[in-house]
Amino acid sequence: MKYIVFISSFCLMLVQIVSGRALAPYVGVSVYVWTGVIGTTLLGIVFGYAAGGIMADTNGNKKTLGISLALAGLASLVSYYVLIILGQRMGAGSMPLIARVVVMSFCVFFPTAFFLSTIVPQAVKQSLSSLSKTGGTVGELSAWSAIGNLLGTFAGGYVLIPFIGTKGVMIAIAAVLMLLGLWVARGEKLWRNKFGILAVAFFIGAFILPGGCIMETNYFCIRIASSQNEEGAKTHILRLDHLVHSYVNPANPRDLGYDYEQVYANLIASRFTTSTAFTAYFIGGGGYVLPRYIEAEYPQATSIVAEIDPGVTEANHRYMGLDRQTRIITANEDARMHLMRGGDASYDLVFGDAFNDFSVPYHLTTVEFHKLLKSRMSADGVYALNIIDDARYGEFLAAMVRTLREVWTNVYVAPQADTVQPGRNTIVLIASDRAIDQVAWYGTLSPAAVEKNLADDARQTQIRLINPDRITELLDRKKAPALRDDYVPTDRYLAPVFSDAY
Amino acid sequence: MPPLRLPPIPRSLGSRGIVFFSGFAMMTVELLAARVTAPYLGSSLYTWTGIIASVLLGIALGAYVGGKLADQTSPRTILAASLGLGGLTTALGYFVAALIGPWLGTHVAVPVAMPLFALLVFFPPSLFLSAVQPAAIKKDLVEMGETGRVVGMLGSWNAAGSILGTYLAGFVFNYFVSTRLVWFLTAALLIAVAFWVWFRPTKAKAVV
Repeated sequence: MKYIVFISSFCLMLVQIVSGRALAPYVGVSVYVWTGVIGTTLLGIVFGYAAGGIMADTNGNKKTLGISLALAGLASLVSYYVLIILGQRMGAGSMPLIARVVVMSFCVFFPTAFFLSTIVPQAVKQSLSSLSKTGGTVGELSAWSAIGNLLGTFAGGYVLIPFIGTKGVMIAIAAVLMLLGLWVARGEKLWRNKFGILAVAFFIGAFILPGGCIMETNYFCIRIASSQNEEGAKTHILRLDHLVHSYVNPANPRDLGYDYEQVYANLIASRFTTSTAFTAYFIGGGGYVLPRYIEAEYPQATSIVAEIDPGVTEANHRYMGLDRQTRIITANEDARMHLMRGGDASYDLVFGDAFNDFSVPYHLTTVEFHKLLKSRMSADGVYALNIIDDARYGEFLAAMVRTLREVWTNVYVAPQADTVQPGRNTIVLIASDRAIDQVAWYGTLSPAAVEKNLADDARQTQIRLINPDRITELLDRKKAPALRDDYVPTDRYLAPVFSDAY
Repeated sequence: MPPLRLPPIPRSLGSRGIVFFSGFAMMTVELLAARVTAPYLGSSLYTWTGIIASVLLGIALGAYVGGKLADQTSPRTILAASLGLGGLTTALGYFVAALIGPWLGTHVAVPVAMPLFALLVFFPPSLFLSAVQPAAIKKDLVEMGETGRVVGMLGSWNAAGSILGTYLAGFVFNYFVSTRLVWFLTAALLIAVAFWVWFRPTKAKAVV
């Protein structure tokens, strides 16, 4: 009995881990998705436990237990179909994202969680021989259940998803649970039931269903769409989960894709006019667009990339033409940890591009983090980062500006327009103790700007640093305080931007 | 099919409330754990799994030992002791984190540092808090015929408490108040409930 509890708990946790990953390509990864999935699973447990208890007291036998297990298996198999159908229907739908997350996680994962949670009360009922042993029996079965949960979490996160993918895991869970169910109720010969045929059909069907990601890592579902541009060069679009992260043109590193990269290119060009032997540090690698650009245009410069996911680096090498002999140095580590240990570093430029989709790594936004970062930079080093916000809300922007101002003398806002625009926008923030030379800023033509070849007005708008008065005005309206390790409500600040954008 | 005749199970609101609250406290601690960890050890696959693993390991051991002890001593003692010690270790954990975090963060590789950190900070509260449920079941289960429903009902309340903890910690606490405040409030509340369980007048059980 304890093994049955162990296996069902193992599967339950696995389903929960896989759920978050399986939803990611459709709705991204954020606090909303994880909370939705955890909430659904726990709701399944609430009802599953209560129902399981009643089932155990009325029909407490092996047959009920076997059927519960088999149904859980069937539910996890069916859920994969539901996921694909709902994902396609709702992926482009008009429903707000948070509603979509709730509906999808409920439809997809509630049934499996429900059936799996009916197991423990049934198992206790069938194991308990006398009332003097209640505590021990319950405790022991709970312990097996927790060990199952524990191994399920590890197996899911470290081993199964990277190797057999979310689809493989779902199929495996279904197979294990159904076979276990049949075995537990072997006296009943459940396989003679007509549902058996249905189950087999679902199994065969599941193998044919599309997968989607080219690589599934512990952090992302990585997808790459390649196409030819007008000049016939091959370009790649890198998607991490829901987000189109970068446009990469390996044949021409001057082609930077996103507009905010132009601000970065201009920062480099206007800062390093004579000596170009600078050291640049990147928080987040993505498509390595800017590191490739620096490698090509500034051969004396050094680039160091802190990219948490080795899979992203590998995808760059394997699919997006990043030479394995590149001079770009990568550390596959959390940036804050990497900086904490890098005591002798002295970076001249730091670029922050780790804020994927709407999941903001909160520990990279705080005053404490920025003080650490500054201690690893040269005296007049510059930190530039891109964030997402909306002029109609702007709480996150205000909080970030206040945070950076506590650490650096000058903070600039470059929205790639004359003002911060309404709607979901990428905004570049630049912080340094040395003021930016406005003449050099607007007068320099970076290699990327030459490549882009815009009219001078448009080019200046693209790299516009908004008027300091406007920043003061924004801070007067938005009272969000500077972010500290102890209090980082970034998800709250971004919630309205998030629900509007989808 | 035999007619459904289920004797009503004893209404013990106290036990349900206690398992609900222990689920709530456990999930609050688990969710805030990420924020307590990040300043020292960052936020990565290693830190998440470290937290989940230490909490689940605590559950496994706590449920096992708590259940055994509840069979030998009075379940009420176990309930009060585990709630109180759960609160105490939660509070202590914060200081331990501040004490060892900076050193671990700069001197030990994260895959090694994280299990150590989690074992010292998050494992003890989950160990004690998970002894609550088996002890409550032991206390409430007085007739074999009700096993399924008592276990199911208490498990269900515990999960409901966990949901509330998850949502409040994830969507409300993190949004409006500092991590430290919630952390210590949870600890204080646990200790208060422990005192209540211990000093609560016992009703005469004669009327069964």
